[in-house]
Amino acid sequence: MKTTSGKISNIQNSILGKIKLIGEKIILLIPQKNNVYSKIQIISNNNKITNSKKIIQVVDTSIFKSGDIIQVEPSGKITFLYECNSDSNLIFITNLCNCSCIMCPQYEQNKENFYERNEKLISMIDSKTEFLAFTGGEPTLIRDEFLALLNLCKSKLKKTKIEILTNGILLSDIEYVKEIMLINHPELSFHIPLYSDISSIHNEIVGSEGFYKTIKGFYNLAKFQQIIELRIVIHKQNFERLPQLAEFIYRNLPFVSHIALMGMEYQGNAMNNFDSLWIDPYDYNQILKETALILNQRFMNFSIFNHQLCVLDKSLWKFSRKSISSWKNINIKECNRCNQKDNCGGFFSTSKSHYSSHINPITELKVSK
Amino acid sequence: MYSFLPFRFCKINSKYFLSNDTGEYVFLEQNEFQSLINKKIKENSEIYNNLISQFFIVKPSNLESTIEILATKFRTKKNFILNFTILHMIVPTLKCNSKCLYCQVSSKDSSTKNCTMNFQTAKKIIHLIFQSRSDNIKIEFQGGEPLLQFDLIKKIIKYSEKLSKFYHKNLEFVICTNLTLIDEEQLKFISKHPIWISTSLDGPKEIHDRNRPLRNSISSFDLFDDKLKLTRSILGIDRISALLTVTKIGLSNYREIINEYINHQFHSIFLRALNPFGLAIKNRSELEYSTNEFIEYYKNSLLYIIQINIDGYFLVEEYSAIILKKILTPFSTAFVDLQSPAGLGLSCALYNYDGKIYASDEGRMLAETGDDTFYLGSINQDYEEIFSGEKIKNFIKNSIAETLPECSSCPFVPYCGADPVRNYVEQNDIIGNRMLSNFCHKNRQIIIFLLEIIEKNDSKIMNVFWSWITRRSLKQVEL
Repeated sequence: MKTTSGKISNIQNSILGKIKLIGEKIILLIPQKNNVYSKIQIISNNNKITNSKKIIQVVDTSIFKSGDIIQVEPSGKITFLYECNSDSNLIFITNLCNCSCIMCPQYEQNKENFYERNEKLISMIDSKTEFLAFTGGEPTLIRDEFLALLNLCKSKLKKTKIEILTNGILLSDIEYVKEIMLINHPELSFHIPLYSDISSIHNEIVGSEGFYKTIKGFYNLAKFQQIIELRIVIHKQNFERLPQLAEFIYRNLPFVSHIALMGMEYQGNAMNNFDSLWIDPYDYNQILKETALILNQRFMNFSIFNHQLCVLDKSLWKFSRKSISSWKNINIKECNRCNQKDNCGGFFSTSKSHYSSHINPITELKVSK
Repeated sequence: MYSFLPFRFCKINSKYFLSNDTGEYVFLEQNEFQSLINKKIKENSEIYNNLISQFFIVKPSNLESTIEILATKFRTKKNFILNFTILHMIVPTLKCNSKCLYCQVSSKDSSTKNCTMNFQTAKKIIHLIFQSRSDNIKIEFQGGEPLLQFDLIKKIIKYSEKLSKFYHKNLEFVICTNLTLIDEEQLKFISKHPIWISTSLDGPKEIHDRNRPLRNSISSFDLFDDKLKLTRSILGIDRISALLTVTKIGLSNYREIINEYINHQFHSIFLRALNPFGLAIKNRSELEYSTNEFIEYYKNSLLYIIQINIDGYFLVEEYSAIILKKILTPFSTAFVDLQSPAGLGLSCALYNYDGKIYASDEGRMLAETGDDTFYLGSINQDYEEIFSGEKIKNFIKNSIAETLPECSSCPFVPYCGADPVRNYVEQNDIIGNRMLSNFCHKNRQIIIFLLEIIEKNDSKIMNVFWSWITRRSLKQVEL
């Protein structure tokens, strides 16, 4: 999530509000009871404050867009909980999790309650929003809150597709899945990771005895013909058996609608375990190619994410997805000369110092994607 | 320490071939197989993980979850059972303008009386068909030559379409025809309905004319050629496919036959052995060959077809495609002649011109010789009486290959099926003795041949196989 900091005057509590641009003015609308809003102005640091009005001062006012939803803390920390220009907005349900993945990009687990904030947030989000992702932690962990928020989305955001990023473990309980289905949300999809065809390898990676429960979660969702994306993050612990994993998915989970083969983001836990995770993507090129062939032969729908085109085998370019998330970018200087920059899977901005030693700008004739 | 999950095995060349009920398979070297059965495979070794991943062995602590997955896989493979009858064959008439040498259905010439279906009978049949639980209904018109009764066919199609709106079923029709009588008016009707045409092409003119003479003796090949062009000009290229019946003369001319399919722009071919059942004795010496001769022919043809695909022409060999789908995919196949339990009544039914219902096409032929073994009932009976009677139960019970003698221990059983009719005809016993079965011998050899190719894992050939299974061009299958 995008953050910035500002200077806050006369504000004691954390506030949640929606940005509205009126001419040159930036107004933060804070919902009160009965559809009434209180207003706080956001101004540039250059302006001087003369009275005791509530006000927020920031260095760069251009980062605010009408419709953005921000949280402002008394410390001055400003977090963008929703950006109207992004198609990857998250609803952060909880930071608790029933797994502890060795490559988890998050740092912390605490019992902070996000429910009320999320309730307000969903009510403020533009109803034209195309996608929202429920994430965490493990979003299904606090069952009542998860179901309530999903219900809220259904009633407030009728056109918004909800992507649920879950490890699927709790969905092994068919009763839970039934409860989700009974909400009858029209645009639901589930995004579930499976890191290996071997339970012990998968479990080692996720730090929990989750493998068979996750598989059962897949089956339970399939019973209701749900849209399921299977996600594989590739690293040193699982790259060797990727082809077998592909075959395993085809043989056992052929109903998944998409398979995402993803490069690592080195942040949080992943940095702590860097040595046991890091492999130069160049070194698993052949395995990735073999995996892609298996999936493509079998008519499985798959994509490769977060891999740089110059490192990928050319035959895989057509499966590589351009990175459009706001937290991914291309910012190493070699890339400036590359003519495929606009098509590239890019880097995680958080992982900029950890990338393949085979980054090599593509300068030859343009290859059509 | 690991436990075994149920699997069957045999030796193919120097390697051990293992398969389980869900069709997962693995080839092991002799020493690997020894280690496996002596429980000496090292934990977390690659082969150990492969065997776990493919459900041949299991850690006891994971047994329960693993069996649950296996059960799901097995249900998926046997999914066709849930659909119940999907293929309904209707015989509008026994009359035929052709007099094919290998004809099994004792077709009649056009002056024959009392061998044609009336609409009253047809209506009752359609009502029975719509009581089948399957959401997808395929009605196949056989003969005789169905086009001789095109008015009836039209009525049946219109009536079925009316009913399908009420029953919410997906309808599909197939007309099995020699094509020689088809005309523009018929084709215009066909073009407006979900009708597919299945015709026959036995190869180059010389072979086709010899096998499939017309009663009025105009060359059937030339007429076929003209009518195929006419058909395609109205229906487009893909609504018509052809079946091949291999006779003795075809064995040595396999290339010419396959080339003829390409010349006629067909993209599928079905290498079908002659069914010796019902053959006129006088034609036998001219047509028949041994099962081994057919297997040899099949292998040569298949390799030739594979090369044609590699060279850029998409041509599916349908029989291999069915078996490959059984070997390489987790899905169930909808081919009633190679399944377990057998298709008899369970997946297909034949409605004869006189309103009698049989469990299979051969069933009606047997009936003509006075043997009602595969007779299920008549259109005047209730659906339940016909389709859940003792007879059908008995066919099903005795055609679950996994439980039949010999088949139950055969590692190829997940890729094969039971053929009670053939067993009955050849051995007078619907269970049959596999040692005496040509059906078994043929399928076994074909399956082994396909497995040998798969084991070599030549990516070019595997791409061809996958293009057949997924019905996509090679370009789409390759990276």
